[in-house]
Formats: sequence, C-alpha cells, structure tokens
Amino acid sequence: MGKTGWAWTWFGFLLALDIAIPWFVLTHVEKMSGAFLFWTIWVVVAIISAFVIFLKWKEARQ
Amino acid sequence: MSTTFWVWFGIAIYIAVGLAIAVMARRQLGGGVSEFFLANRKIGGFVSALTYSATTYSAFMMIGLAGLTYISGVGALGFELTYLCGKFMMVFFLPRFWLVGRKYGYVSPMELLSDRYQSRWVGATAAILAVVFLVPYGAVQLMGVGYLVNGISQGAIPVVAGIIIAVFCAIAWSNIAGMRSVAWTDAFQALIMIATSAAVLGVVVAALGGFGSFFGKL
Repeated sequence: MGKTGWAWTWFGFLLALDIAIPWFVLTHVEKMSGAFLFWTIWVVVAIISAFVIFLKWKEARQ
Repeated sequence: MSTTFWVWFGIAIYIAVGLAIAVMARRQLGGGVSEFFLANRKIGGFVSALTYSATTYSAFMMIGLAGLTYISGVGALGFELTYLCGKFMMVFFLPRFWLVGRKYGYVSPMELLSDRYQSRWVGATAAILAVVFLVPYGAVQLMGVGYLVNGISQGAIPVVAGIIIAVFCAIAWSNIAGMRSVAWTDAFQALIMIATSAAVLGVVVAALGGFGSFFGKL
C-alpha cells in the first residue's frame, strides 16, 4: 500500500474510533475522564496526523 | 424603560454601526467582478479569520449548538471537535486555492473544479449542491436570529420581525460593497460574538461558584 493508501486507512480508522469509542464503549461513563477526555485527545491526534501527512504535500512534478 | 425598548435600541445601534462600516467599505470599491465578489483578493488575514468565524460560528453555533449540548450532553463536544478537524484541513487547502484562484482568475470554487477536471458538469454539480445545502443553512441562520430576538425580548418582538431584520441586514450589507462590506461587517459581528461569548462564560462560571465548582457540576 502506498503513502496515500496508508493515509486514507489511518483517517478511516480515526473516524471509526471517533464514533465507536464514545457511543459504544464510553456511553455509560458519565465522567470528565470518559468521552470528554477521549474526544479531547482524539482531536489532538487527528490534527497532528493531518499536519504530518499534509506537511510534504505538493504538486506532482511535471 | 422596558426590556423591549432596550432590545430595539440595541438592534438599531447594531444596524447603524453595520451600515456605517458597509458604507466605509464602499469607498474602496473599484470596478469589476473580482472587486465586488472577492474584494480584489485583498482581504487581510485578520479580517478573513474574523469573517470566517462570524460566518461559521453563527446562529447555528450560538443557538443550535447550545441547544444540542443541552439535549445531548458531551456528544455535542464530539461533534464540534470532529468538525474542527475538518476545519484544520483548510490550513493546507485554502492557501493553494487562493494561489490558483489568483493565477487563473477564478471567482468561485466551481470555476476551479470545472477547470481542474476539465468538465463543466463538475462545476455545475458543485454549484447545485452548494445552492441546495446553503438554502437550509441560510434559513436556519435567519430563524436563529428570529428566535434570539424573540427570546431576549421575552416574546414582545415576533420571530418573523427578527427574521425580516436579519434579511434586511444581509441584503443591504452584501450589496453595498460586495465581499468587502460583507467581510468588514462580519469582522464587526465576530468581535461582538467573541466578547459576548467570553462574558457569558464568565457569568456562568461565576454563578456556579468558580471553575472548580463549574467542572464539578458538569
């Protein structure tokens, strides 16, 4: 799998976690350390991932 | 004096300041399509950030998201943070859109798409989708203003009156000087929203007995 494929797979995995963990695993954890903390960490990971993946993004050489 | 009077007074001040800003923007208005619709591509970063904030974090957020939080709890945070990740993509995409837009003279994203994919149908499809999805979005914004005015006047000002005021402001401010007046009045709106949001946060936290008590009650 190329870099683009890995990037799509990683973002797909993050998206699946974004829904599955809070709505199925943490749904009965009514604490700040539940979905609140998960989403806070998740958004940091997602933004860092986007930053790393797109940092070297440029037009393909002609 | 009654609450209704002060609400009307506040609306009148708001409209007057907005009109003054739009008229100031018109003094810089030149000729041409790019000038009217894109302010000649010369809106600075600070005003761009404010106008984007006012557009995105509008009635949908100030009223809709608050309501969503009220009924769904922390799920609203998940929605907003996921949305933020999408926004972060703009850091990479928008400078490139701006560069090619300036290079090839695009006025709308649809022209970019048509040219990039060498198909008028791609641009037409994007334009239709934009119109279709902007209609309910625009309607929600106007309804939000109506409900807001109705709420703060304790029902004295009808929802429809608030909507009519919002429509008047939107049409007038966008027609006076195109994108430049939109951006400047949006920036004014954004500054009001930032100040009032911070004030509301301060009031709520103070009413709950400080940050420790505030988080304890969440």
